[in-house]
Formats: sequence, C-alpha cells, structure tokens
Amino acid sequence: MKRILILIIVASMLLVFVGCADDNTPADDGSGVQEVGEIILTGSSTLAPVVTQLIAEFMETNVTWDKVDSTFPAEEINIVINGGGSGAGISSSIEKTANFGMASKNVSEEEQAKFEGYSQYKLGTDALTIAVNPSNKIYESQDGFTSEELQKIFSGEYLYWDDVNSELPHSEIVVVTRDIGGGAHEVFQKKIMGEIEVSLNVIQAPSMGALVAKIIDNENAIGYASFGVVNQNEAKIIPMSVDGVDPTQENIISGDYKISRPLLVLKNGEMSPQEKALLDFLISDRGMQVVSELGFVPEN
Amino acid sequence: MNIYDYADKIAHRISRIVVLTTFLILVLIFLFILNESLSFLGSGFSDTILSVSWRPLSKNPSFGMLPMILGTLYIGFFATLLALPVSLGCASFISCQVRGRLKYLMLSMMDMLAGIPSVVYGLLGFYTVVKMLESTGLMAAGESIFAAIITLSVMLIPYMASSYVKAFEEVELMYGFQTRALGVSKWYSMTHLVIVHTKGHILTGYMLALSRALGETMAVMMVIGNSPILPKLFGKGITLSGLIALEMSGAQLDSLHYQSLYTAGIILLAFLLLINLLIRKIESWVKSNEI
Repeated sequence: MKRILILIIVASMLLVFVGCADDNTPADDGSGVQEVGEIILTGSSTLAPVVTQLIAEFMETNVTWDKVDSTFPAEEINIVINGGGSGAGISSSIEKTANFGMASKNVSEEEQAKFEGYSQYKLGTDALTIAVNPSNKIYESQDGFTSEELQKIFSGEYLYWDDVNSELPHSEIVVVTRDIGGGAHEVFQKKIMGEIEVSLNVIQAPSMGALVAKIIDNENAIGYASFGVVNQNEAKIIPMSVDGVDPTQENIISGDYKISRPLLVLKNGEMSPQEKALLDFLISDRGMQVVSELGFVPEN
Repeated sequence: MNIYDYADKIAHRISRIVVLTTFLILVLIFLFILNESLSFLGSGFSDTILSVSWRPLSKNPSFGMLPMILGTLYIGFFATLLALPVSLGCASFISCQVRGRLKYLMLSMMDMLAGIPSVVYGLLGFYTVVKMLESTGLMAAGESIFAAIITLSVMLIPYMASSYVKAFEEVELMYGFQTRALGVSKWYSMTHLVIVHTKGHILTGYMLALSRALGETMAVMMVIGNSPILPKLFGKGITLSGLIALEMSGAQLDSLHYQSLYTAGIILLAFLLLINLLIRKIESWVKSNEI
C-alpha cells in the first residue's frame, strides 16, 4: 500500500516537471510577424527601482505589444530587469546579453570604444550629500566641510570631532560608507578622496537605507547619503555643504555640487521599434515624474 | 514478478536518480565556484590572501582575507559556545520538567523562533544590542563583534535546543520511570544520566549549529560594521559570507575583485565541508561506543 502511495507521489511529481517543460515552449499562433521576445535590462541597483516601477506601469497599461503601436505583433510584453551594478550594466550591453544597460556612473571612453554603436540616455542625476545627525552641533559652528576635511575624516586622520572643530566634544567620529565596489563609493572616492584610501575601520552599510538609519541613530555618525533618501528623512539628518556649495536641486543640475553621478540607460547598436517605444516611455514626462518621486533629480 | 516488484524497482530507480542529481548539483556548485576563482588563484595576487589588508580596488590591490577568516571563526565559535549552555538548559526543561499542553506550546514556539528569517534577528540586533552598546558609552558605534556574537547566539538557541529536545526525550522515555522509582533527583538524573548519555548528540548538534553560524550572513552583516580589520571583541569586523554579500553586487564582472569574492566562497565552503566531515566522524564514534 505504502509503495503504491510513493509511486503515485513520484509519478505526480514527474507530471509536474513535464508540465513545467510544456510552459516554456513559445506559443506559436501562426502569425507571420517577427517575434519580439524578451527585453532585458541589466545594471545599476540605484536606477533599477526607477526602471522597475516604470516598466511595471508600461506592462500593466499595455499588456500586449499591439496596444503600444498597432503595427507591432499581438504578443505579450515580456521585460526582465536584472540588478548587478553599473559594471554589469556596461559589460552586458557591450556583450549584448542585455538589450539595455543601466549605469549610475559615467561610462569611460575606453568602455565606450568597446561598443559597436554607443548611445546613452540620461534619466536624471543622483547626488551624495554629506550628512550628519541633528544632535551633532557641527552645523552651528560651520556650514559645511571642505574636501580636505572630508578626506581627513574618511581616511581616519581625524578620529574625534574636536579634531575637526575645537568647539565640538571629544567624541569618536563614526564614519559610515557603502561597500567599496558599489557606485556610490566609487563616486565619492573619485570626487572627494582622489588617491587617498578610505580607512578600513569604518562601518560599511549593506544598503543606502541602513546607512541613513545609522546616521539617524548615532549622534557621532557621518556618511554620504543619497540625495533622495535625505529628502525623505528631512530634519532627521542634516545635509552639509561641500566646499561652500549646498546640495540643492539647482546646484546638482548645474554641476556646482560636485559629488553627483548621472543615471544612464545604455544601448549598444540600433534599436528595434519596440525597444525605441520602451525607451521613449522611460524618458517621457511620466518617467521624469517617477525619477523625482524616488528622490533623484530628473533630467527634464 | 508481480506488480509490487515492478513498482519497487521503479521507485528504486527514481530515488537513485534523485540522489545522483543532488550529488551532481553539489559537485557542479563546487566546480563553478572553483572555476570562477581559478584565474584569481593563478594571478600572482593569491599570496596576498593571508595578509590583513583588503584593498581590492586600489592601484596596488591586495586581497588579505585574514580579517574575514578570523572574524568568521571568532564569531562562530563564541556564539555557539554562548548558545550551548542556554540551549541545554532549555531542552532539559522542555523534555523533563513540563508535560502536556504546555510542552506542546513551548515546542511549537521554539520551532517558530527557529523559523524567523535571519534579517529580522539582524534588525532586532541593530535596534537593541547595537543601541544598548552605544548608550553605555563603551563604544562610539555599537557595531561590533560582540553585538554579532549576541545576536547570532540568540538566533542559534531555538535551533540548537529543538535538536536536543528530541535526544533528551528518548533518554527520558528509556530511563525516566526507573530513575523516578529509585528516587533520583531531577538535577542528578540530568547531570549524571541524560547529559552523559547524549554527549555525542550534543556534540553533533553543536557542530551543526557551528556550521550554520559560520554561514550566517544577513543577521551578522547588520550588526558587525563590515570593516575588514582583525577581529577584537569590542571592535568592528567582517565575516566571509558578509563580504560576499556586501561586495558581489558592486564587483565588476570577471574582475580580480569578483574572482577574489568567489575565492572567499571556496574558503567558506572548505570550512563547512570540514565541519560536516567531523560530524560524520563523531556520529560513527558515538554509534560504536553505544553498542
């Protein structure tokens, strides 16, 4: 009896597997129109939430491609978004394993040369603001930091707050950074630190949210918080100016505020009509609205 | 041959295929990780693994993994050591002191605690242990090896205890009636009978918890600070799995940095393999001693 039961269970499991295999075969409805297939976007985890939200809207409102444009085939829209970081975004568009790459940093000329036909579309700008806890009285003594002060704080040369400004208490500076490989740290390293290494004895937060949570929680903390996240936590953390320039929307757009990075969508070679339609939606007014809703500075 | 024999044969074949597939997947995972890290191991930077400086992206990169290796072992051993006596007490209480509905309630609560995702424990640690350490004024930032040990041991207690409860109950079933008839006190029977009789099981349970502790990523990552420096009890630190989780997403594909993270994976896998072998050894030793 037991054996028969096992046999039935195993047989039904096999059937499930067979059923799965069936699902994967593409539906052939006999129409002669060229198939669109899957569109893949790979890259920056900063840009991914923006694109994910927009594409969810795109797929919900249109469902099939012929609703986007009547000349397109009546095929279900199938768009996949992968993270992996800006590096993966650039390499996957060079290798054409993704239809679009997403990068939250400038693509170097060396990398651009590897593309067959390089084109980039800027959705907006993200800035990193140097933020401190509201209980830290540094913003009463000084408006902001100079690049040199930041270098000394992040490299571990200044260990206590009174090293920075003698009016402050003798308490240890708690430096919070993101992981060294990520886009945020790369921008900070390039724009502020230059050749100087960031100290190893700093907290590396696993996400931007964790970084900001630490600054909200610890009165001795300092870190580079994403512009968008600072806006969401107004009064809980204090953004400071850098070299006399405040991190405001105008200064970020004009480029006066220096710790900023572009949010780019990359394309290698010619676009298919469907890809063009998708990109047009990303850089549409609605696209810009989502960019600013998620706290970034929209391009238009 | 009747139908049952056929069914038997088919079931046998299928289970054999399933076992082989599982084994194959394990081998493939190992080969994949090895393959990804191979070009790093042959790159000439591999001798920097045993240094203390983790600078994978600087002009003169060095890939010192000693801080992560020592950090992982430090946290794993101390967290399990801290959790062991508490779990033993917990298990002996549940198996010998309570009965009926209360026991059922306690067991199911324990299973529920063991099933809570580790990120929840991490968040709890971040808002309680880390905060507490900061408010004592001992440290400017509460993120430390100490916070990780406390968080991890709290996580391990239900896991360890529920594995001990089963072993203790068996002893209780075998000898409980007799010891009570002889008028042996509960404390005496616990220390002189139950613990002695299940010491092999306690050891394997400990090792299993240790292998879980070494691989634990999220909970530890949220309270440890993730600084690649040598571990000190009240200093920041980092673990191997934490390093991989933290930096894999940012590492450029096929760069030395990316490959070195896979090498960290190999080191972690080697530790887990070693512990599993030890568990098998202990189990066979216990079996041969029982008979």
